[in-house]
Amino acid sequence: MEYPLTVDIRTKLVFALVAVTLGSMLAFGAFMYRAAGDMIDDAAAQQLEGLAESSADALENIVDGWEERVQLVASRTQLRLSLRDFSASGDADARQRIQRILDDATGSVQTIAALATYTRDGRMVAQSGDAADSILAVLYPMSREESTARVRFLGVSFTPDGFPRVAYGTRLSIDGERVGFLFVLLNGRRIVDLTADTAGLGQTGELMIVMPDPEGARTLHRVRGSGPEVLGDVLLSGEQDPARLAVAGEEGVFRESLVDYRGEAVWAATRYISNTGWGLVVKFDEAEKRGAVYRFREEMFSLALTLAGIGIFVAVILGFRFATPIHSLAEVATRIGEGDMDARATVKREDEIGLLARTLNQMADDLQARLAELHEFQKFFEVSLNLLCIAGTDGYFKRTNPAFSRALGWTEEQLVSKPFLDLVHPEDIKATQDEIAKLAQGIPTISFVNRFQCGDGAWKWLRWTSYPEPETGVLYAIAREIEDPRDA
Amino acid sequence: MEALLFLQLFSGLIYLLFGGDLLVRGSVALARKFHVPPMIIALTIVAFGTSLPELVVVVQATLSGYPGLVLGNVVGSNIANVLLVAGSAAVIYPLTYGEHSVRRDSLFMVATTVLLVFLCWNGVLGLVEGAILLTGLVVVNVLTAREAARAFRESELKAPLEWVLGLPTNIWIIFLFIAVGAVGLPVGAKLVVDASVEIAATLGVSDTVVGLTVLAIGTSLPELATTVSAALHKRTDVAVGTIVGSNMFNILAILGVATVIAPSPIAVPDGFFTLDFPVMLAAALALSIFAWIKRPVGRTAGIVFLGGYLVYIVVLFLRGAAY
Repeated sequence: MEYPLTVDIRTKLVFALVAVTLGSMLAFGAFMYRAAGDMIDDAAAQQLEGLAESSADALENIVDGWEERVQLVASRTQLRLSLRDFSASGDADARQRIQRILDDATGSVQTIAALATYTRDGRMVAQSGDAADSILAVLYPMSREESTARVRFLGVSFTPDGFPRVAYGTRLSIDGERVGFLFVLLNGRRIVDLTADTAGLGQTGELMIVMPDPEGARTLHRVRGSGPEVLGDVLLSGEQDPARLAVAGEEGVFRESLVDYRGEAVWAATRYISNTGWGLVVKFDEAEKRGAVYRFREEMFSLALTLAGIGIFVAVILGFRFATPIHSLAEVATRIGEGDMDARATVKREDEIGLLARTLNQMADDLQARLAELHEFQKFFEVSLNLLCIAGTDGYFKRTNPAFSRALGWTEEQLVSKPFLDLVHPEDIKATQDEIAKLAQGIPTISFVNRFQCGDGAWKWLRWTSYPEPETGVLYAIAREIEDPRDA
Repeated sequence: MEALLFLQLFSGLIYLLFGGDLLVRGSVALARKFHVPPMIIALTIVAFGTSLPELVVVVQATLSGYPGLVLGNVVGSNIANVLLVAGSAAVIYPLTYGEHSVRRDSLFMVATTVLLVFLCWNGVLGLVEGAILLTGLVVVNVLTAREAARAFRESELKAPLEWVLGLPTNIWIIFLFIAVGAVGLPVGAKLVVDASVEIAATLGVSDTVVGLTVLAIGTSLPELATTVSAALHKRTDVAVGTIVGSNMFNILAILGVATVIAPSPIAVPDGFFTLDFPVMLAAALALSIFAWIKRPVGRTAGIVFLGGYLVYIVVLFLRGAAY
């Protein structure tokens, strides 16, 4: 086989298929690349939204529960009657009754950490539960400022071990007449439990409940990112902390330029709890969410590359399968062209390639038969004792046989290189020209005699028989050497 | 998921072969355009280029921090080349020897294998060991260069670069070949290395075990395909020579380069000394003995080789913890 000069058809077909495969996979990859980012962004937003909504519901339930507890205590008729009695007469029995009711409540309801009652004019009547005097004392004046709400949230304090406590206050009235105040301090443990549950929040996600603070916001619980040394609340003073949005009453999903207390860029959803003025923040580190996007994209990219690789494999197989028969046909044709008459295509197919192969083989068979035939006639041409030639009406020999050269002593090259009239005896030229003119009109020569010059300068008499082929201007002529007719 | 990983590994190998082929064809075409003598092309670009895929994988694995994959791949590949590739081919048709140099080369192979075990004796392959391996590569090439040149001259008249399916002549197409090849190789290497590491994690074995088995068989697949196909056509006279050459190149060039570029010395797990090194040495010796006494590797030997490979793989997985 010849040195392969250029890219063969198998490679070209493989390349075409590979280009299609790679192209479509790249398009797929690019599409997935774009889609993946958007998809995960949207999914993250929905997740944040969903978490914020359900957490806000849970928190509102807790707050409602607290208010109900306060109302439950405030609705005790005995308490209000005793407080009126005490306010009017300073009756020690009434005070005792109040004390019992308060002790009863703190003893039986775990949520209640402390209770205290005050008269209208601000004297403390009784208190129960673990020491909270100072807090209640602080809270009392606040309760006087406003008096429309039945149960009023007053604020939050923290136990030494970091648990939040929520303070509520309410007026106590009988038949529309105010008889005093009730202050309730409730355990905020459920808030801690709610925020400590990180299920569904991933590696970095966090749920925070925050209250306003002069420096920004403050959590009601320890945070995920703080060390174990922090027991309770954490101040969130960062300018771009999502907690600021939450306590300012801005609700929604935020995915830009938020930085949390650890200095990490975050995506967050916020809710505002109007009863208490608190904010609720659900947040994820942007890196974690983005990481998921990157990982997804990388997976998609690997998948696209893998599929494209398999595509290349299939393309190579298909390319070879389709193009190899054509390639081998070309090889066979080349070999025939180079003279190997026994070369035949072995492709056995029913399609066009099979037809091509069969036709090629048929042509090769015909060609071989013709060549064999030609070979036979060639032999006659070569061994004949007569002078055989093919000439043109243009006056040149086209081919002469060996007998020609033997008789006249000219080589074939010499004979075909000049007008044969140059070799005709001057006295015979006229007659020869006339004869050629007749031949040109298609009239065969049966017997024409003229003299030809030999290589050694001698003249030989030749008797010609020739047949013209007017449409091609070719003459097929046979000559025989004869004795000088004048001698006869 | 696992099936996808194996698909990724296979796909990576396709990229490597395809990219390697394109790079070689492009480079050969470029060299021809600049009238570089065909012999130089054959002895440099073609000889080196056909091993390029393995080299790229090893570089990728080393730079990604999986040296276990590299050592495993080289040792596993050498074992697979003899037991799996030569074994499979010999079962189909006896392997004979067409090249005069195969006796001497098989001795080189055994010597190289012994050298590797010796260098690993202290438990690490560092810069010095890498330099020794690369020096060995130069020495072997110098010793065999004349032979290779003569062999090439003999084959030159018959079919130079017959395996090449065709070379581009247009300069832009040439650059396209080189560019696509240069991109395809690292892409394939990344796919192969990532898939291997993940397969190791999924199967719960070390990178080394995966390098010894999955990756080694993977990188031996092209040789397996060509050798088995040659056996089916009863043209096995170059198989042993190819395997011997490939094994030498694996140790001297591939491991040599990996050791030199590795950020820290490659640790050799103890398990290699009790199983893989002995198997590799035994396989190299077995093939060399056939070459030395000039006996064709027949069907019986082929079956023994394949059986040995099976046993080796089973033992390897049973004692996976040794790595």
